[in-house]
Amino acid sequence: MSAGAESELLSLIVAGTRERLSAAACSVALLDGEQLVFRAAAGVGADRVVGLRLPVGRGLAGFVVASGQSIAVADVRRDQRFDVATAEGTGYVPTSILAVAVEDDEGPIGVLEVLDRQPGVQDMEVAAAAARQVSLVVQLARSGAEVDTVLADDRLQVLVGLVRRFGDARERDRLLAAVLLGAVLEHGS
Amino acid sequence: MPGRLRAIRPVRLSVPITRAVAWGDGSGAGVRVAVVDSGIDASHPRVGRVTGGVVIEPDETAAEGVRFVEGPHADLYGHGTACAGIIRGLAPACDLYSVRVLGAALTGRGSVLAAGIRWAIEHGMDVVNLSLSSRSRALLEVFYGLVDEAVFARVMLVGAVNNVPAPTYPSQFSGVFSVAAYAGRDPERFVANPEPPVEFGAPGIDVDVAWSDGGSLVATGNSFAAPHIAGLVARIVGEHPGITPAEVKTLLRALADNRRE
Repeated sequence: MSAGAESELLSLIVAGTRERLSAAACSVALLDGEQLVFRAAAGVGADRVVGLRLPVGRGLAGFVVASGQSIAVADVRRDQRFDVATAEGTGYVPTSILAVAVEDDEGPIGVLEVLDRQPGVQDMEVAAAAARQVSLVVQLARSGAEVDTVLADDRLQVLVGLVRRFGDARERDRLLAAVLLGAVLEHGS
Repeated sequence: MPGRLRAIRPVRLSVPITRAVAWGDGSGAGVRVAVVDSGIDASHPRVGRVTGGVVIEPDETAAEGVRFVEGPHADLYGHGTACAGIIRGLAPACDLYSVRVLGAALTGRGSVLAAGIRWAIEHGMDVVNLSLSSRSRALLEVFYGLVDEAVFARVMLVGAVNNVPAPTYPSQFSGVFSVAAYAGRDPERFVANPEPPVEFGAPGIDVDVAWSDGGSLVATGNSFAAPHIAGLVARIVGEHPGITPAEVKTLLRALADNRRE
């Protein structure tokens, strides 16, 4: 999967989640070291949010990433530690936030946030399902990148060349190569 | 098994099991409750008093990869204070301990959580609130062993389940009181789930909770359901010292709102 396809899929997920929850905005931020980097957003302030970096030790998003627990807060401005300046920087200061951890098999890799949704009983489940989709897309993109790295390795190209030559070789040469390979493997073990 | 068994002291049951039978005056006096979380703001009016605690952090140079700093500490997010406030509201005379395992450092968080549970068991906690969990499969055996150890030591581990449909530890294990949010308002009321691994449902939707800097928030999450059950469990342990986790679960099931007489 290309980086472009990954971004497009993440954008589709946050746009769908925003619509499903009748929310003002929805975003996905992924961990990069000790920072959260906003990778996709839909709704108000979306164009200013993507690319934004925040230290992970702060705020609700930081808590969700640290704990893996989902949380929704009805009025974030009652939290004296709520980072109003950052919110103002995006051009939109929300009242309510719902935040769900994006996790792979080892733990949180990011957070999906929904701002000012129309509250409903299944909100957490809807957001959790979206976070699961985000996780799968990110894992696919990462494994794709790993495959690309492996394919670009010069030694792999040498090996591919050898296999091709082996296929083109005459019967007698193939037998000889097989015997040699057997001897190498036996020696190696 | 020893050749001569000592007598056991099962919980005294009467019919019907009432709240008075289960938790008496409901004070939770003498019960040690650990909140394994982001710390507790001891000055928050809804918390009242924090008896002790420890900060646990990753440390590559330490023997088990973590270091322990005992003593007073702040709440980094407000979440631990929220849990402590709920427990204090239900068990006003219990002794609260803050076991801070959530910090800015994200590496090794599963190991830190496991160390937090171990600290609680080794320091004689009666009830442990875990409004957090780990997905680390690498630590599955560690958590499994800790839960067994806790059950045999009569330590009640109360865990919030994760919303994500995937196993999280230790809330996944049957030795834990696994709790999810339920649309109730009365902090003393709860339901028992006939379809585990979630065993109990308690208020966790739009709950008015204590938060950092002496403030409060209206918040939703399984995080806030677990301390409701932890508070009630503290009440029960206060009334029946030495009671086992299985016996506490029996009492809770007998008092659940969705029971059929």
